[in-house]
Amino acid sequence: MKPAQSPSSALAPDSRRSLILCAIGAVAGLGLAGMGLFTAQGTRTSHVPPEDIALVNGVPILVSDYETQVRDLYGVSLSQTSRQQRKGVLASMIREEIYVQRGVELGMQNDVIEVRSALVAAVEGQQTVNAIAAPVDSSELLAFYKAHPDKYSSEGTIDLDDYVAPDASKAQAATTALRAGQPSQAIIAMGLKPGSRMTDGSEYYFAAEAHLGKPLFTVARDLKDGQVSDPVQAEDGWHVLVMRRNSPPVERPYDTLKDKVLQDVREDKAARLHTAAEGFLRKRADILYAKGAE
Amino acid sequence: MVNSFSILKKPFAIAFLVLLAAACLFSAAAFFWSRHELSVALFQTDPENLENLPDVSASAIRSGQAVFRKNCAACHGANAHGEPAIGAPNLTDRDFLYGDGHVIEIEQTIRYGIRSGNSRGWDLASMPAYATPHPYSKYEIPSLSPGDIDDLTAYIRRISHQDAELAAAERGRATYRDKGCWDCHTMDAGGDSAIGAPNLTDGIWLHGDGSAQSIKNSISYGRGGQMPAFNTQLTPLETRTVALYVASLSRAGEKNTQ
Repeated sequence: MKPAQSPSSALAPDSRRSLILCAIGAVAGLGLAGMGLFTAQGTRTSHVPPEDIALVNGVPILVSDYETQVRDLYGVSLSQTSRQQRKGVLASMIREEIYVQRGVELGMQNDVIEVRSALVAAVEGQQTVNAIAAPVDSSELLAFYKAHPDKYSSEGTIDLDDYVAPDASKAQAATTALRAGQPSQAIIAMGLKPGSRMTDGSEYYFAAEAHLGKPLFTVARDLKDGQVSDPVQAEDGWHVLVMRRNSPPVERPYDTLKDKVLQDVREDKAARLHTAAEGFLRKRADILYAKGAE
Repeated sequence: MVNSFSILKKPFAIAFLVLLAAACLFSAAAFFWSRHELSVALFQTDPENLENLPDVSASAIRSGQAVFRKNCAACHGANAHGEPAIGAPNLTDRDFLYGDGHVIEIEQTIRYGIRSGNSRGWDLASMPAYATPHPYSKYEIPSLSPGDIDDLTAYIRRISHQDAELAAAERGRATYRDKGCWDCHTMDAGGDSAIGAPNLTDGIWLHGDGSAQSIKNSISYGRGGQMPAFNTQLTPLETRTVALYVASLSRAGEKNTQ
């Protein structure tokens, strides 16, 4: 009769091997976990994807950005630079990444005003990026164009003669003479002076308004080509305006400003995205006001 | 009732399914492996030297063409000849608004865009609207008079080898010099690709057709075309392949003109 076997020795060789392998697996797992926990090396990726030149704490530095940096710095393509030059560029890019990450660790976004401004601009920029990337079809463009006729008018132009009289009676006499077709010399001979407010010939409406002043411009804008105004009183005397040519604003054809309409549609979308995003972020944020601060 | 798994009881059917699954797995692995190999080849070679790897180059250009059709053709056209109405340039010539046509420059433009909102995109200058009270949004510059704009139009028509009144063009030359147009377009009006100021002498028009009216529109109301940043929409590999495709188009255009 065989002696009774102990339970451990009763295990078959296969079962023992499984147990040993399990134990090895557990120890290796614990080792890796410990390394990850205490050295931050456990989460490290050993493989750098082909499109990256380096990973800094898992943050990629793109080959494309690296090549651009090399070209910007040395004005030649990558293969035309020396190993030393390439190493220098990569070292500076890694340095920047390390410092950015350290800045985040130190909470620089809370203290450094430039970082805060840059972050605000970057978030707004990202909303613009989304607006610009969204496809726009031609019906949307046309509808926007039709909805904003004031935006797409040409700037009117004015070209006029301006005479300044010292008093109302001389101004009235000059108006009558001009309407009768008297030449400029005759008006000067009557004691009027040529005005000095608009001397460069044809001007855009906005420039004419700035030069003539609002009261004179309001009169001028309504004159037709060849028409003579009634005398208008201003601080420097009485003005009589003779309109040479008045070209009021006209609607610019859609086909000539499609690019402008596209830009405006995108800007409009971006503005709406900014508003919506701010509303969402405010709603999501837990903002507590001090007493009386609301 | 017929058991739907009864087919699995037939050995040849099981073998067929196993083979099919293996073929699918093999195809998928082959596809991903080829993409990986293409990635490695494309990112480990200076893009300016890819002509030395014709197989890789051809494969990348084929992939890039598909990416172009999906993402770029809506503005630049399926044949990449551009759309002057929206200021989308012709990509088949050797006239580059930004940079000199190097693959990496094209790639950066695709990745970060032009006036796209991305701070890495091109946004150094735009054409002021000189027939408006405030021609430029970034800082104050004076407007021009209608006469100045007519003269400048004549000058630009003359230097781009088109008809225009000589006296007006001469006045326009003085305006070009005195009002600072040269600051962006350079003294010889050859443009500056570092800031996206176009060459005004080559008869290639980003906006319009070079007619007096379209030139006048550009000076009067300004220009500032935009291109989206594709860095979040395209993978690095897609971006590089489409950049290679665009570079190949302009190089083909160059060969055709020689």
